[in-house]
Amino acid sequence: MNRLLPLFALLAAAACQPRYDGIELTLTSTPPVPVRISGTEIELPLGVAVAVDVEPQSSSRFNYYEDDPLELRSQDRAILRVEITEDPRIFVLVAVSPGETCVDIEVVGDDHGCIPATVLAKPN
Amino acid sequence: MRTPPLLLILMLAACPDTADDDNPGAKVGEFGVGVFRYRCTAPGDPLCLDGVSTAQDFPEALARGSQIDLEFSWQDDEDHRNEPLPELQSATSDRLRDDGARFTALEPGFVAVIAVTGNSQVVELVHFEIAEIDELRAVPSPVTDFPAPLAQLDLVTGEERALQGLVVDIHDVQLGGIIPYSWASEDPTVLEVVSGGSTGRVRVRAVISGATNLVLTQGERTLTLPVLVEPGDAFTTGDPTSDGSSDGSSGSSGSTTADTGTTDDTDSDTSGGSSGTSGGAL
Repeated sequence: MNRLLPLFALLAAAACQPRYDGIELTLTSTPPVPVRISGTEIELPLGVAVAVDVEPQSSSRFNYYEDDPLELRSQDRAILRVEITEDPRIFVLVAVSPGETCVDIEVVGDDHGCIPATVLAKPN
Repeated sequence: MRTPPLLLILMLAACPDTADDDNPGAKVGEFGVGVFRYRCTAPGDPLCLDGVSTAQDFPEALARGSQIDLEFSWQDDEDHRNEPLPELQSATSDRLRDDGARFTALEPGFVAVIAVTGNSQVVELVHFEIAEIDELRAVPSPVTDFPAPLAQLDLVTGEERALQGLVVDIHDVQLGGIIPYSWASEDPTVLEVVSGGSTGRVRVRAVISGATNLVLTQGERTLTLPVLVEPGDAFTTGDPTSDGSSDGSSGSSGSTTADTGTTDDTDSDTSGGSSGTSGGAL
């Protein structure tokens, strides 16, 4: 029985952690033209930059802490730049040139896929 | 009951103080921590009075093909004491090319400028609109809020007049940005360009009685102003030693006429002119 104690401890620790269940992006700046920002889609007209508040969601009863490491990285910075700010949960998305790319999500060191991103040549 | 002066002073001191109140030329960034100003670096810039370092009013839009020098400052200097100013970067060089603090507007549309610190953090952002030039105008100098475009100049001999060239978009909005202007008199024996012939702001003088044209050129656009000089005993309007910046609205018998001017999007023949036809504000 004592041999199983470390296993129980590991399981208990895992059960007390947040379970990644997507990401929520909230616009915090006021772009002059319409943009589409969500946890599943980013669409910006060329030349526009927006600030977004990023909130990882948890499906367990334990939420992420404010200081849990969170990274967003553009797979193609020639199309869309993702820049950091003083606030680790706020990022600035910059539409550099028309095209499609994806924004990688990393929460507490784990990769969680990417958000498809489109930069439009003209506003919709 | 009379309000004690001390109380009035205290009330004024308690009023909120923002950069917009201090300087309407300040465009506050979308994060609310920084302020962008339009630097006056080109002589005769219609947005700039002589001797000022930044524009009185930040332009609503920039002219395509123009350049702009931006100045950034913190809203609250105390919070950023001893910090280097962030670098200003264009969101896309396709639309707004940046070269240090100077930006060139390349194509119409909205474009962001972001302020980035040495550790790659974006601390402020702002959007500008770039618009096509729709019309070239000449207006009295200094420029008022809603300047009526001149279509004709009526002067008396000896009279001087200060004029300002400017451009507007299709919505009649005056566009900002440094662009080259030049002025030429088709008959300098009748009307001579005194100063500012290669800037946006010119000073002309009626020499002898007669008729001629004053031609304003901006890029491929030209504006031809018919000029009629009649005999008279004019006094000079404004300071003749200044660079065309003084008030040209008064005169003994001269007048200006609006809304019938001739504009042309192609180069006009200004070969008869003798002064101020070359160069630009850049």
